[in-house]
Amino acid sequence: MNQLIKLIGVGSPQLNDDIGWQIADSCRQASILQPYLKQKHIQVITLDRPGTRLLPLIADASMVILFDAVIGEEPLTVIRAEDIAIYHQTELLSTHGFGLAETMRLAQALNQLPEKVIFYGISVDPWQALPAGDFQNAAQKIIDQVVIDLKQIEITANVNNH
Amino acid sequence: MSKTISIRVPAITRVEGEGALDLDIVAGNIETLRLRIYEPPRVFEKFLQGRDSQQVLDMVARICGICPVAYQMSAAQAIENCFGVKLSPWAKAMRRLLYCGEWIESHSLHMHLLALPDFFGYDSAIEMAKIYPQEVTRGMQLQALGNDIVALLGKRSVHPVGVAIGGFHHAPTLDNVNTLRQRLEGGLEQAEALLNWLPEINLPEDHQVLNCVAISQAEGYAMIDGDIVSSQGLNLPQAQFYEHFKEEQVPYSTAKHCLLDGKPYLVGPLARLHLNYDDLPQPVKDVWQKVGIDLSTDNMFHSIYARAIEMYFALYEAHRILSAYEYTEHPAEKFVPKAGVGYGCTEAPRGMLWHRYEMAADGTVIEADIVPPTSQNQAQIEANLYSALQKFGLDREENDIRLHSEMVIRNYDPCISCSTHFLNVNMKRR
Repeated sequence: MNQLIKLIGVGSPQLNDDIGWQIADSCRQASILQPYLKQKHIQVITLDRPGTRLLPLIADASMVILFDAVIGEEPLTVIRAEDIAIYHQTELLSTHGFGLAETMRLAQALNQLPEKVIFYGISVDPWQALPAGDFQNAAQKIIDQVVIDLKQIEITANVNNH
Repeated sequence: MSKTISIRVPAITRVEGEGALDLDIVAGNIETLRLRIYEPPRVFEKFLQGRDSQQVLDMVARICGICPVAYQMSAAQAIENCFGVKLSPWAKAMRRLLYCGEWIESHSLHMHLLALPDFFGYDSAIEMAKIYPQEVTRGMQLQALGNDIVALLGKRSVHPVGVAIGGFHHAPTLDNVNTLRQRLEGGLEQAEALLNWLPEINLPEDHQVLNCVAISQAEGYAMIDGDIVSSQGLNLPQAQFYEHFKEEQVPYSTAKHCLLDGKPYLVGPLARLHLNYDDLPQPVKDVWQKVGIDLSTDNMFHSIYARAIEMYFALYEAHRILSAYEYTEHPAEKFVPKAGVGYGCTEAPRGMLWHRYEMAADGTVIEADIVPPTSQNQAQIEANLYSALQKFGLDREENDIRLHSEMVIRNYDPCISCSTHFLNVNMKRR
């Protein structure tokens, strides 16, 4: 089993769309994640509106954890989804109509999805600044859950190796 | 025929930006046909006033996420012409290489994600990918290769930051160049396979009377340098653009219509090939001649062939440039700002992109003027729709007319965000 794991924050600089980058940065700095991040097979990446450039970047990973801004819920509400169906429910505005949701559906159509994909959507209000304290709480909750996600993949890998 | 049809496509999909098509058919005749671009004006030209020349390069790259290099190339050329900066042969070659990357990335994206689903009758590239996974994967790999060429010089592939007035901020290492050059060899094989595959696809016939416009130069296939030429005999220095071209505001669109002597004209890959095919390197022509499609028929849907040929050319050219690459410690010429006016005109993936800057002695912008390719093609798209829909049949089902309209528009690869600087079709038939 290829064990390369990628934590990917996607977004753009404006209108709080950078919250996926901020969460990825928080993961980079979180002490609880340092034992994992010292391992070469776990990478944290931030990408500016990758579109289909995401495909080659996830092709070599066994597990991908995505962080991206969503709208529609109370700001800083976190949506966690492991089911690819989430990408059929979102029609986000994006360049050429080809954003994260469409790219993941294309990866699925091409049978290029990693074995496990976990999506963290963090709700934002594009027109209002995020309260710093609330952001830190939301980031910590995500980091705690990411630790559980990484432990789970380790357990699964160990079971498979035996 | 007495019935009246009104089609309103409120948001055209699979194009960059937001626009709509309004179509009224009365008693079998088109009464109203408007490509309505409603994306808000982005007033970039105003933003640029007072900015330093280097800031201009970083700002204009933000006009478009698909063709940022084109904006940097035209702006850099205009400002360097104003300041009297002469690029080194190294910098000239790297600018051309950077542009090759953007052509590869943009053309592959348009062909595989936007245009090809139309010709196969799929709603999206996702549906097409289920039936043609190898072809779509090949397209994505070619697009990634183009992105990586842009990132080699621009440090990132979207909104790159590597271009400087006088050259570049850095020179790529030999290791990075060699790695990319080897990948280009595989890319050339993939692009040739694409060229050989495309004729298997049944393209619609849509013959148009075209006045093609592009830049043309004495040697080589024009991307960055050259005078403005047309298939009706125009030959114009870049600085004299407004002697024949005029931008007009139409009430239903936030993007201006640009006309050549009062008439629509075509810019983009098909126009370039019509005008500059002889300038392609012989090995590129040899590959195309084996495919054996005649591009001189003015079938607008042959644009997909033009993109595929240009993508093969860009890969060939990028490989040639990288094969001769030498590292330099001096990637940019020093310069002293000068007051004056400079012009730049280069070939964006979707057509000619003209810039004019009036600069102050301190190197800041007094006035900027940008004429993007989609503004230039907008009147041509409307003229094309008018005749194409009549040939298609105005008595067809509304949904068929809607789909055909969208296919005609998408074929131009319009970049609406650039031009306001897609498509809802609203149709009425009475």
